[in-house]
Amino acid sequence: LRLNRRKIIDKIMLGIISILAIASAIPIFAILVNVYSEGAKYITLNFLIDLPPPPIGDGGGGIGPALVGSLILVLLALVIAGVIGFFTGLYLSEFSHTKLAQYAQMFLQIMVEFPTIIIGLFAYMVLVAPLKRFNAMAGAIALSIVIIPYIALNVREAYKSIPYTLKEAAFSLGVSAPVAYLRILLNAARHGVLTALLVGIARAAGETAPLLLTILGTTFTYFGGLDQPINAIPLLIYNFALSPYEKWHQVAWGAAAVLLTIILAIFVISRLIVREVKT
Amino acid sequence: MISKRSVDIVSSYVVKIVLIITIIFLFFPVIISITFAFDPRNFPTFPPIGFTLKWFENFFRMRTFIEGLKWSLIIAVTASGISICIAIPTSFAITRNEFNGKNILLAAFQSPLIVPGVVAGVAFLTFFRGFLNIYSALTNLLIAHTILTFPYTLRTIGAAIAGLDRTLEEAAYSLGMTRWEVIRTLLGYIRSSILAGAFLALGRAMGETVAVAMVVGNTLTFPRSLFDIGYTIPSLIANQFPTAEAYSYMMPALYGGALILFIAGLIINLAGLYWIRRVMVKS
Repeated sequence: LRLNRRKIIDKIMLGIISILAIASAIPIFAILVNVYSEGAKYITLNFLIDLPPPPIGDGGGGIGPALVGSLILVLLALVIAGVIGFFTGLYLSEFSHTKLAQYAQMFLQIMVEFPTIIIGLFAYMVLVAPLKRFNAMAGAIALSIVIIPYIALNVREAYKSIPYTLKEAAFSLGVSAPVAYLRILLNAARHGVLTALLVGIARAAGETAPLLLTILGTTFTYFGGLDQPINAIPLLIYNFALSPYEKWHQVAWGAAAVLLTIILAIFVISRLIVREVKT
Repeated sequence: MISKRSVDIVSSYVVKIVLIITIIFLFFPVIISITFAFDPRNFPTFPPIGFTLKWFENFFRMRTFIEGLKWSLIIAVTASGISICIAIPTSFAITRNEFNGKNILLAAFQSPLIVPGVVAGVAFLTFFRGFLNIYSALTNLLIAHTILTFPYTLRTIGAAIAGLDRTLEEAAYSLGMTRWEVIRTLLGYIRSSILAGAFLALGRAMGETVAVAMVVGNTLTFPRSLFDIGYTIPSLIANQFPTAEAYSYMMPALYGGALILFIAGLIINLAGLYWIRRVMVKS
């Protein structure tokens, strides 16, 4: 009898485990399917170029200003965060024995999953309030603060993965440290560094919370200068999805599908890069 | 010509300076926000001119903010708990079985890491209200947070199970244990990883802004009251910010909220790192 009870419990528990495992996959698939089934039908070439439509009335309209704004913001953030993050990652990997590197690494790991809205509040206070105007630069700097930890920690992994013998060989050539790290070893770590930058781009392209407080968003201009408000796709989705107009909801769905496509593409590319290294 | 050695010396300083700039660049926001939260002026600038706790008094006197803090904590803890409970069986199922489409399933599980919060938010909006017909903000927040934290718990627990010594399991089976009893025994070995995953999930759940703000502030129905149940601190900041300048007390109060959020995030993340390090040292 005792054995039977154990067997019954075994069957019940395994059943529960299987059900939970299957259930956990459903909502995630639902999100992806939902965004594409609702949004894909609005995407045309004009949708990517045109100004947003008026809330009521005819005319397709598009997400042109937001797309341009997102490109500018991501590019600026990448330049700032790329330089800082790269050198930080290099230092964390090659001088990991120093106290400075150890503290810096712990700090970066904390910053990876930090509430990004706090960074937005900071950018508002330092770059928006004194200038009395929402501006693109504040958004770009906020984004770069968000992605520096991702870039730095990934660059660190890239340099860490270079075999030690290769590093010794590079230094045995008698070249100075900058030449060894930036010309010889960077070549060996280039896939990892590229992946780090791609992760940074994907993260910056999808980040919304800091932009809520920094760039305001524009509807009728594409780009008016770095000290002017600018729009971005995530911000447009946020604003339009929460608006009461059916038309803007459609634009938000289309923009969500565009954003998801961009980000999925970046991740597929970075996966391919990683796979190339392994083979 | 400059000697190589002097280039070396200069460049080593340059790298160090870049690192220090990075730390300042990253830490600056945090420090500035902290000083603003204690600044007695209504529209503080840097550097602060005095010290006051009145904004925190404001923060704690406003029922909405207390509710936000309370729900932030309740939802984050509950969602992390549910996420852990689902992640444990899922990671056992995935690491111990080979089946068709396993990679697709794994990619889908990781996708909340990739999908931007705002896209997830749009999807949640229709998914909850149109598809599931759930209009309670609390339920929606719980489901949304559970989905968003799932990759973190799955990754930590999955890695821990994959790293377990297979002979342990074989020993357990040879003692005549049923499969459930084996799983229960193995759970004891990955306790630290489960805890680490829980803290990572908690940190993520506390900080998520956009997806949450979209779920609580909805378009298809009017909110039943101005501050409907289920506000969390980040969504409160996001939603109150555009009108904050109209009230003299609002801006610093939001900074007070941000500081509380910051402290919570710091403690949770540090705890997560501590447990991960413990796991690493052991293995």
